[in-house]
Amino acid sequence: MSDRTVLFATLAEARALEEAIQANAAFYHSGFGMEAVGVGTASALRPDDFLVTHYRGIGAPLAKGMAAPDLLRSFLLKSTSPARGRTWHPVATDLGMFGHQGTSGSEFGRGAGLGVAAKHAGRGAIACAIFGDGSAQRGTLHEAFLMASAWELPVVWVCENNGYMISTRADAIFPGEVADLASGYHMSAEIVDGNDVFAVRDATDRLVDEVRRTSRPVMLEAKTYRVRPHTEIEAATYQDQQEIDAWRARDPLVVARRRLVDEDGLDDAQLDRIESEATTAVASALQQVLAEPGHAPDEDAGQWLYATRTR
Amino acid sequence: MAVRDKNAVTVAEVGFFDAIRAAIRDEMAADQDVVLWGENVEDPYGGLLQQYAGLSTEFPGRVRDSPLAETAIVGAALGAAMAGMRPIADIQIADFSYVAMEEIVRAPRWRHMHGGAGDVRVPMVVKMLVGGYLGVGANHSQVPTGYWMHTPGLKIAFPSTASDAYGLMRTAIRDDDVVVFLAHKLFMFSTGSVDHSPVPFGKAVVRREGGDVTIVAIGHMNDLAVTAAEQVAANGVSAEIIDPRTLEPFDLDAVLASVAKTGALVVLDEDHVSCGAAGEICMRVLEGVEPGTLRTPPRRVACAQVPLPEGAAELQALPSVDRIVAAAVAAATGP
Repeated sequence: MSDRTVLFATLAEARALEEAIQANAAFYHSGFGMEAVGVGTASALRPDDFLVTHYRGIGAPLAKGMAAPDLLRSFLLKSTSPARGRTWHPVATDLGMFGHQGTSGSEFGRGAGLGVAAKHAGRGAIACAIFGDGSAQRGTLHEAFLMASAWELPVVWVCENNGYMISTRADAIFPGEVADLASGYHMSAEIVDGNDVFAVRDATDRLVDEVRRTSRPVMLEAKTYRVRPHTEIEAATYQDQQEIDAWRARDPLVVARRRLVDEDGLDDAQLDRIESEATTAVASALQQVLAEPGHAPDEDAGQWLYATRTR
Repeated sequence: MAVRDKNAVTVAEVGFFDAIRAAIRDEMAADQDVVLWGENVEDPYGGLLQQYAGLSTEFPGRVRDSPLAETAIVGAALGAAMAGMRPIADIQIADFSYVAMEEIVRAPRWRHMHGGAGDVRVPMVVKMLVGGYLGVGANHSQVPTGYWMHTPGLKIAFPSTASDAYGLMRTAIRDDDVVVFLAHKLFMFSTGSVDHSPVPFGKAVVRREGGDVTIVAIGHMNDLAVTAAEQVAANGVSAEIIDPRTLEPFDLDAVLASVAKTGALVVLDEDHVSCGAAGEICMRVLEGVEPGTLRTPPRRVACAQVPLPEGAAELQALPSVDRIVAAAVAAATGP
């Protein structure tokens, strides 16, 4: 498969996972319809690059290399998950992903710190932090952008702008583009169609290359849309149906398929096969994971509190 | 204040903050992954009270001036620590740590919430100056022992001698968990001999032996306790002073052993009294002590439940030798 076909396959796998988690998790911030942002950015990273993920969706951890069964185990809070069923946030330390805890906007400080560690190690690795348009409203963005700029940290800041901070439209808060913020910190920035996985990947490739060359932070704003509610246990009564329909028509899989057919000469049957293989593989993983045990209640509640305990 | 000799660690009397700097220097020399950042820490300023004078010169690039951004100072330490570094995040004065409260509360939660995934550790120190008695008001004087003791997963070091300052800082940097390190500003006037070895966490020391009342003194309260103990001795009351040195882990056994001998307990804490360390320690003793051991109810002397005013008015709120004397006599002799 060509690189672009592989990206399509990852996108199809992300979609199958979104649907499986949506249908089976007790609580989920769906990334349905936004998979191209995580897949397009995280696929551009090296295994030893650090990745800070936020709370929505699975595209980024999947594309960074986390296996589908481990993502299912995480979001279904199975004791077999890397976090032993204690959090649904994906964690894979060997892939430079340390998980997620805390408020929206907590991504920024960690992103800067991982940038410090990447630079300190001196092996050319970088850090990438993905956050939403809601997080971008926090003062924590300013503090970490300033620090990353002042200390020349190799960080790619990725804003996944899905248009809504729960019920509040991003364009009701931001006077211009989110990416406009970058100029105040003298960072390069690009705005990209977040539903076009190839466009996201190309922009990320350019920015990652710049970060590795210059050890200066950069910013990517990927414009996408939250077609699902904020969480799966509530209704998005405030979103306009016509707006949702318009974005659904520009679904990442539809956009990617059209480009592969038009530009790469692939046919629909080939792409159907890739999608159905992804669906079958995820369905099979789901059956296995559903049978696995949940959080073990007899575990010592304080077991992982300290790395070393004196008394 | 005058800058003491940076290399003073080899002489007998060492300034309290010189001892802390020596500990950081020794750990930075031993481990490339030890770094320090915060506001105004680089030379020639070298941090408030010139605590870090010389370090940015000796270790270029590893001691960094940060923006005035406490949340990022601690948040970045969390990120760097997860990736294997050993950052010291300097929050100039504890009052400013509230800006970074979420980061300080979250960092020690990380390993637990992720079930020890990848055996990820968070070896970081959050260092802050604390303390009143300088008349510098509610934004520069607080001693938030209570907030940190209330937070699961933190370790808390609060030395009262130069030697412990050195030893506890070395242990804090080597520790694989999140350590809040409190240094009282009044100790800038204090010197002592320094034993150049790490001090283990969770080991209290007896500062003064006595038989009639146990005084648990946290941080700078040790200095007040010594004066108070001398005064009550004149009235025939023999006070034993215990310095826990770390509030988490807390050496309850040492306090219980002392109380078994004295039968009376007073706990001193400079933080606001409500839900504070003093109340918590009293309760742990009540839960752990053999019935009938205490002749009188435990007592606490702490900061009144008011914001600290600026100037001498703060002394109305802060613990005083007089209040400690009254509490110790009442605890020893009964109401």
